[in-house]
Amino acid sequence: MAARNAGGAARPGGPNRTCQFKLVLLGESAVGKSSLVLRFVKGQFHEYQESTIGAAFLTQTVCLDDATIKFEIWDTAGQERYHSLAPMYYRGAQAAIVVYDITNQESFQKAKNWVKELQRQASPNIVMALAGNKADVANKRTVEYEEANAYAEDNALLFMETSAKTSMNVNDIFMAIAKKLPIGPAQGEPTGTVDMNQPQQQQKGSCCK
Amino acid sequence: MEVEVPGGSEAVGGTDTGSESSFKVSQVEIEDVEENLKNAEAIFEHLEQLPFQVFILSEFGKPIFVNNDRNEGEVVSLAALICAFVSRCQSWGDSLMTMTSQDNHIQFLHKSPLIFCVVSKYPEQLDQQLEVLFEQICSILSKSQLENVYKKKGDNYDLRKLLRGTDRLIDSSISSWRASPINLVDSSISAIPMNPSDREFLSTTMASSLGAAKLDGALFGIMIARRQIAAIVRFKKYVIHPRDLNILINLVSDTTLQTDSQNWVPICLPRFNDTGFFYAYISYPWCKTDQEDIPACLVLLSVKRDHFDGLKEVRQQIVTKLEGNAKFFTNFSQAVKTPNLYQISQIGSNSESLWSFLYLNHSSKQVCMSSSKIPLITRAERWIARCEMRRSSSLSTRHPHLRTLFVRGTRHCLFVWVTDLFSLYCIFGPFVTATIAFQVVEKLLKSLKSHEQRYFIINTTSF
Repeated sequence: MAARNAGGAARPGGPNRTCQFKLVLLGESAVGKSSLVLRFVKGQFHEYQESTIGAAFLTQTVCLDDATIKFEIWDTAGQERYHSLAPMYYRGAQAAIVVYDITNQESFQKAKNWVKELQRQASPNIVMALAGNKADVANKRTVEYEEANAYAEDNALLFMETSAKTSMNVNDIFMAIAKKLPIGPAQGEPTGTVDMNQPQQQQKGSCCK
Repeated sequence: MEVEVPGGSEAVGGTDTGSESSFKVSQVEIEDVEENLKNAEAIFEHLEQLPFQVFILSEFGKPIFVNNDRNEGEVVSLAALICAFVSRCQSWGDSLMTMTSQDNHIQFLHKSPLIFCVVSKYPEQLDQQLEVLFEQICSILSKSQLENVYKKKGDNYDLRKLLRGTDRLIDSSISSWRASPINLVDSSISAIPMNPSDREFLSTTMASSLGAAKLDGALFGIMIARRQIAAIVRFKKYVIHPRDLNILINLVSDTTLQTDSQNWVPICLPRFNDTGFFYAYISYPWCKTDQEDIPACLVLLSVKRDHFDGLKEVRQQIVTKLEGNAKFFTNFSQAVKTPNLYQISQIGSNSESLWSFLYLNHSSKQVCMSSSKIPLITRAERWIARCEMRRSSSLSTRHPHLRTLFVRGTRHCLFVWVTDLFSLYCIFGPFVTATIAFQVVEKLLKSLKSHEQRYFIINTTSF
């Protein structure tokens, strides 16, 4: 299976509960979505990451004190031509990271558009984070930390400036999301946990319009 | 079939229209030509150095793609020049196809709204090369979206925005096409040599898993390795064209597609339907795993965008079943890791005079090529062989009445045999006689026939 349990794998029969969550990365092309995922999932960084074609699906597991969270990550392509496909990925997602490049004001505007679209179209309970990537080149920044932070506060988003290159805040932002996800005892709840052993169909129930 | 248009009508909402449409190109190409012709000489001198150069531009003269990095100014002026040539001929109610200047061959293709142009040292099959490029672009955007985008966004729209990130696909399409005589022969495919029983097991496993999933709209399953097909299965009578297969092969062989993730890629296969999209579930089940690296890629194609989870399940079943059959799996990984190409020595007596061959089956569009042997081993030697094959094949296309041809050269002899069923291009050593060559070729054909299922995919299993 594609599951690459990097951190502590879920111990069968252990006290921890394993929850599976769908997370989607959105943002303009070349802001570093794939690099963030690559850093988070494999701990790697490529200076010349090629642009994603379509979307890539990866998994990564993180351990919290009382639960093991398996992220099913959709790393989407940022190009304009794929925009109309985005709903396919964020529909039914429990978490989203909207990424912009702190050296590119336009990408911040695009990020705001993504946030708006998610607020309108995605699940109302979706946990949203805003990531200002490429923090390692802060000397070229055009988006001020305060500006983005204020925007994030207004929209109740988690916010961090990240660097896939230095790995600054990369794990942290995923962990922060993990902590905000509903690991409620209500197993019958349609959103949230998904039984891995059950075949494809069950997703329909958890979809939001 | 469902028609999906990524980046199309919905959502984008006029983010980047405004400035585009405000300055339209006025039709001043004629003056531009005069201007450009002055420095055209210098530019052509530069082009002279390159084996080939490909241009893609909009019919309004905007450059879209150039295969060698060139400075923007030069590209713009060349694009304007190409556009002027094409539109001039069009204004005469004609269309410009080729121009030849000394040893440079220039081929044009005008497929509204795009113009394709290649400047090349070899004249062979340039028209096909441009067709392939057009289909490559269609595979990214679909033909309908390509046509609509200029209507919607104005003549001056910069298509590079929509094609962003795909330069490398276009690049690799060009280079694979030019490097391999296999694609040159009528856009064919080749099968990876496998034991017939192993191929059978692979196909039936893929077909039964896809069939059992009952995903309405999942049409094809393909196992690709080293730009060759290991197995292909299809839903009922649906057929996939070799040109479309080559688009897929090009996509999955792109080194930057993430081999350790599962990919979900909308792709238009223009020969199948140039207005709609397939969704390709692409995974590399055994790439860079802990135990071993088997460079095989499983592609499952559906017309439904929400089939990802279903196909993911199908893939899992296929992988489990294949790994469960230890004998098969050992053979399969061997076949993929070190492909066992056709050895000329297996023909038997006199086979040493045959240096290389390329066999093309006309009905299946499948190719079988001999593994390289002395004296065609080094890159340069193999390149010569490829050029000879390319030349022979274009000769036989230009002269459809040509059936057999034997050319004695100082370095080698060429033998071409074309029938309704197949084309065969052989390179023999320089001392062979036509009679001997013919005998060897007859034995070769017999041998290919008896090992047909090892080197070709004879039946496409359906589900």
